[in-house]
Amino acid sequence: MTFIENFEATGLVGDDVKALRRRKMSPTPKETPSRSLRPRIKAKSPQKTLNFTVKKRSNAITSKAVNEDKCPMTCVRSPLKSPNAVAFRPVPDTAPCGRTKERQPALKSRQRLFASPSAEQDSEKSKETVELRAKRSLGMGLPDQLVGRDREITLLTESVDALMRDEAPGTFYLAGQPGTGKTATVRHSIRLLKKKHKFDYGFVNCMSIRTPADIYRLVLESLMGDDEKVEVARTRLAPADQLADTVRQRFSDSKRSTVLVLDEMDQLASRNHQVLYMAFGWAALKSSRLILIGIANSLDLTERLLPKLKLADPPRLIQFRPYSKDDVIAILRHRLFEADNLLDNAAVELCARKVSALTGDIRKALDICQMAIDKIQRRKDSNGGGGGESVPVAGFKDVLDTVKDVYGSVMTRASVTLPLQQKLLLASCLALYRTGVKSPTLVQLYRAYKKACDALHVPPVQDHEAASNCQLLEACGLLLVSKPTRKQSTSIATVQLLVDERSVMNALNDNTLFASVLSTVG
Amino acid sequence: MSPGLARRANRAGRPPCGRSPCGRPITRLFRRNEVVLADKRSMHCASCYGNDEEVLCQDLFTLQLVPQQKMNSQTPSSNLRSRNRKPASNSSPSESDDRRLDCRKTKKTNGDDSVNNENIAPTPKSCKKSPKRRAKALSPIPPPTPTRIIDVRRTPRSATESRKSVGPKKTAKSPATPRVRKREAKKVLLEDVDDDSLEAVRRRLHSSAVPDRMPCRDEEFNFVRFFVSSTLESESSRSLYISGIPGTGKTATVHQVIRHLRNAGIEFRFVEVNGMRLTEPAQVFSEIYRQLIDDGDDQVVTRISASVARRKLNHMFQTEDPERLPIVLLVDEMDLLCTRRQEILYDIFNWATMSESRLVVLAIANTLDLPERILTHRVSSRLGMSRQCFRPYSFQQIESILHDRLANSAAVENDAVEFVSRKVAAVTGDLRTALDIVRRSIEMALDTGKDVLTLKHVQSAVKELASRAPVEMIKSCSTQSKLLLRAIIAEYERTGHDEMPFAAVIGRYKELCAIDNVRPLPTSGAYDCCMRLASSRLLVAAPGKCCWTRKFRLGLPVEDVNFALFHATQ
Repeated sequence: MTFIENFEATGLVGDDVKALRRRKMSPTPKETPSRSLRPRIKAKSPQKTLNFTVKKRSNAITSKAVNEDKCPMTCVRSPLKSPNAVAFRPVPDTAPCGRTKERQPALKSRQRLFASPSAEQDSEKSKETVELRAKRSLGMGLPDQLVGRDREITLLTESVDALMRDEAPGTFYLAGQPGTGKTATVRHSIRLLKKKHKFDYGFVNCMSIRTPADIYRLVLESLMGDDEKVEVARTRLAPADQLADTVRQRFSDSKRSTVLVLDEMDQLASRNHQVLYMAFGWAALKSSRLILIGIANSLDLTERLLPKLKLADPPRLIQFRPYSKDDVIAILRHRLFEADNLLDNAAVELCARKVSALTGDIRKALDICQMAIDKIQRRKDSNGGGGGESVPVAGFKDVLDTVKDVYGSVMTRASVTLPLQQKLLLASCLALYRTGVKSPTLVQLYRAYKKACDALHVPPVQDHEAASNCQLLEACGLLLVSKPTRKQSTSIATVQLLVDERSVMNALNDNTLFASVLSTVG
Repeated sequence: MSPGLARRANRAGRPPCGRSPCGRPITRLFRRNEVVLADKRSMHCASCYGNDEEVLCQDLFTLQLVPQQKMNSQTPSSNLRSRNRKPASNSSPSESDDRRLDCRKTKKTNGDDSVNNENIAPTPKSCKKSPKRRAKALSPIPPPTPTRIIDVRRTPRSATESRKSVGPKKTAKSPATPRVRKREAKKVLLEDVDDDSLEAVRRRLHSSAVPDRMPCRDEEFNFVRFFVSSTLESESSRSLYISGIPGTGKTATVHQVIRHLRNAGIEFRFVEVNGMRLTEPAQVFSEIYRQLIDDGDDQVVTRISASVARRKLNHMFQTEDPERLPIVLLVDEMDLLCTRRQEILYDIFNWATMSESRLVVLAIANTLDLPERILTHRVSSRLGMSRQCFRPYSFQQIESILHDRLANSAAVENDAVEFVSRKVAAVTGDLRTALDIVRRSIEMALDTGKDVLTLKHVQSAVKELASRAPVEMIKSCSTQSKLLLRAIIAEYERTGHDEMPFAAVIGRYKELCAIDNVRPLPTSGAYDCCMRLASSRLLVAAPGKCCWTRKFRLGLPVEDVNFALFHATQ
């Protein structure tokens, strides 16, 4: 039996995983919430009494997926392509036992997608609109079930599991574009691993550090429990070397396994990459049981920046491909499960195709869906809202509109009509461009503009106003005005077109004006 | 009371930026009296405080002269503030929390505008205080304890004691945190609509006067309102990027949305930060944290370092806390928070991707495509795709807004309004400019004793606003300086190089003098004259000592100088 199946068999999926997380994450109001996400053994105990029936089919699918994973080069798609293949979902009608129900009132307001739809929720359903539910589940927060990243999750959990069983250290490096689910995968895997092992867990986002000393401090803080907070506070003013020593000690003589996640790891890069080397070096310390997981965007960060690591023990690279069309469809379906009548298949597919063709950033797909739902809701509101849920909703057009809005050019998106004087400036800039002056100085541009104004019998503005108009055009993303240094004269400032001729023509939206400007300049 | 104070308070002219009426820089003035300014920012933009600052330092001068008997219970802060506020908006600290929240809200929306108010329009009228008000403001002069004066910018609060108890903690020095000035809400209401005189119209036209409605911005208003309210309802987190050139009502619309939602009874907390008002980008965290803590309970943290605030906020938004109200965060002038690594914007938008945070981020900047052009992928991915652009006003829109603000007053001709709106819409579409022009032209009309605003006034106001300081300066130069400038232009036209040694300039200059039949200055005098022009940056002098070989060039475009010289001779 593979690793995932172990978890499935114990029934630790979906709702109770979430509930467990909730319990851990949400502190009582008075208590100062702990920074560490260390597992508390107490929280685990009620889970054993839970009794879930997991669909038979899910096991089959998972094992298939895992089997395919034996050869990592084959591209494994998510098994959840169609909306009825809701694999990891607990069977709806078997409500969880009493304990979970007791918790529900507190969680009710934040019910997520895979909360078992019990009777309570049905009553809630009548109160909430479909849109609200859909939007809540489309939020960018960590879902309870990651779709489309099964391969990576399995790879990570199995390797970490093996390392923990062997009490060995190890390093991983996860690379991928923004919005490909790297952090979510790690968090999900940790959630799964916590069912099986006891280990310390620290999560550090390297974006929030400024000096190397910060990273040591953050690492210490993220690993410490509440009782050790005082110590950390004492070390707050300690110099970086001392902190580094403390961290090294912490990792070298550890009785338990420790998982340390460094998100946005490329921020640690400095001139000699001392901190990066040191971070990977923690795992190589004597009798260390550290499992280091680094996350960053660039694929070759470890090879490019840290060539010396190759000699010792190169970190294991897990690459996150951008989400494919099918992945995006599966994710959106999964999220929109409760409001499935809201966006139909065609709408979801359009969104998925568009997003996967451009970036594969799942955040964008979720956002587009949210915006489309916004549109539907607003239309409903403007209709008086009398129809309620009976209003026929065709999501396709809304998604299409949103996609057009989002991926159209900036000017069409904003549908900005430029004021006349700015149009004249832009036209004279384009005319100069046509005559071969690629980046005219402000003075040259002003001369051309003045000529054009004379030809069109428009009173020209003065040059400082023209200069400020250039800056407004820069704000529209059409021009680029180079800023001269203090010593240089302002007349040296040059102007460049930022977009191609056609976009400029679109922005001008006035061919006759441009023709007359061109005739005066040329 | 001292006669000096009255004289100074009566003085109509404003001192130049950052200086006391006596011409001393304000910061130095404060130090001499061993008073440290309460926050860093007030040193930076002393000019923004305008009249307030003036009053402040006048009082510093005179406080020592005041006998102790005149002490009364009034604190210096409330006394100083009372000069500039309407009695109606005076809120006492003892009132309930709701009231406090409420007045803070209005303060946030209007406090800054009232600063602008004094800055933009130093009208002689507003500087003069009516005798009644002056008497009320100045008669009870408070005791001159320097520590109290530090508090000048704050409203008195019941939490003062708790702040004092935090005192020892403050000794751990952290970078000074800019604090929002606790100004009394000074709402310029559009109340006296019935008054139809030109003077009343002028008052109504202030760009800081807060309108109850925003005509011609319904679409944008509805979009933002829907965005915020639906996100709050669904208890999720999202962020919206609002763009638009200055003066298109971005911030005003957001504030109106907030007001509207509060009136609708939706509970949330509103935090506003402005990139322009921070001494450095990282301070945004301490500002947000301070506002969050300040609003909630009595525990007042006056000073918190940016890194600590950042850690606390990161933690706060990562943990689920059903007790906490959802937060609406307005980040104004977002482009100023772009650091090289963009870690600040990353953090802010990262909060908005976490469902636990229940945070709505509204980011405002001028640039239309900032997320695509400047932000890195990891930040723009978190920002999401929601955008709202505020288009520049068209001339019909400006016209209707102006009519709305003027309340169709008979004292203003329709032609004048149309001229202004066409003029502004053709150049920028910035409503603030339009309001400024109308206000300036009303002032001109009042100065000339007319009580109807005509096209002519507007035209002269437009001309005045269009003219430019350096050009004016050249126009008012001495004859010899003008000759020198002409000599430099002539030399530039002859050689085509914009830099030339003084020897060449003096040659040309002597020729021009001969033509104009002016007796030329001696060389040293001419050199001195050039250096004086250079000190006002009409000329730029290359570094060097030798007067003959030292190079000069024009500090302005040649066209400008020519234009100014041409007009000066007319």
